[in-house]
Amino acid sequence: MRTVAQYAEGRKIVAVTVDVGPLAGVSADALDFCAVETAKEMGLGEPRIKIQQVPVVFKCSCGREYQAVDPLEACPSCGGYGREIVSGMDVVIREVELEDTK
Amino acid sequence: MKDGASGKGGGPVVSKSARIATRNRERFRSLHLFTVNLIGAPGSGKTALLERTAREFAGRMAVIEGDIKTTLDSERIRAAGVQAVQIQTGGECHLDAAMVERAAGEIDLESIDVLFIENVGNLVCPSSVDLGEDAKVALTSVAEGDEKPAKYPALFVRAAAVVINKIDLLPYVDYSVERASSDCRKLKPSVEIFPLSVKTGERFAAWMEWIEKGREKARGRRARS
Repeated sequence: MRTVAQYAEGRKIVAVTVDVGPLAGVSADALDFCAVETAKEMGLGEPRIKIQQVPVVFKCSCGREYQAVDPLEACPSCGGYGREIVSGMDVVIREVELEDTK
Repeated sequence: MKDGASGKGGGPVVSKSARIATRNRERFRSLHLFTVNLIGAPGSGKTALLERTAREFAGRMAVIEGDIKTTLDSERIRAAGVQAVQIQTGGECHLDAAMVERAAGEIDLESIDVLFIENVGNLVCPSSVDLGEDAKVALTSVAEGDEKPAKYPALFVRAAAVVINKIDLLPYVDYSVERASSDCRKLKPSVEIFPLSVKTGERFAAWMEWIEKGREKARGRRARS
């Protein structure tokens, strides 16, 4: 919420959209609960936390980029696992919605 | 978020803990330490691995011990002849970078080559928390079952090395080292895997070589700087 607060400039936060990767090691329920409580404590209102469960994005050595919810899923092109993780290990703030100022 | 108003962002969330982790890493690297964050379930043999490592390691090492309660583990490590500092989290299920920073302040870092951080026994929560280490090592034992890498991918995608302990028990349990190793490699192709027995010492030498290699690499950083 501290990161989000930097952009609020004193305004209340209506909603925050967050991407949670399957490999982030973050519980969506806990994040939801804690983010709302922290926002309240910081005087930022009671925002809706919209959590989007995103897949892991892999880049395979064969050149194929693919998405999978199960990190043990092989490359659909070559069937191999010689791949790098492009995303899915982080929590990413996608969107912050602030209240209107008059 | 771009213009300080409503909008769309994209960067990963950088927590306060991540900033302290970066500070830890810079400090450890400036001292040319090889630092290992050891993560494994309760009873997998984390402290036992470090006790044996302390006895066999030719270099100088220290251990930061993380537990919810008691100083039993740091006492075991000290009995093996190396510096050990105990962190008692009092309930926290994992160590964070600030705890490690404070504990490191109690160690004579100038006098060591390798620093082990033994995390709280847990395969989940410590996985994504950076402490400032060079390498995460996942420790699992054959008594736990060979599906652990598949069940806890957040840990195994980050582990530079995986130790499979208690191979002396293989005749008594249904555990396929091949299956576990294959899942580990799928999750992280570059992973180094060490099936071994801390108790009997079987195949322990390969683990010690890996530690030695890490130490050499950390020294190399010294040569270049």
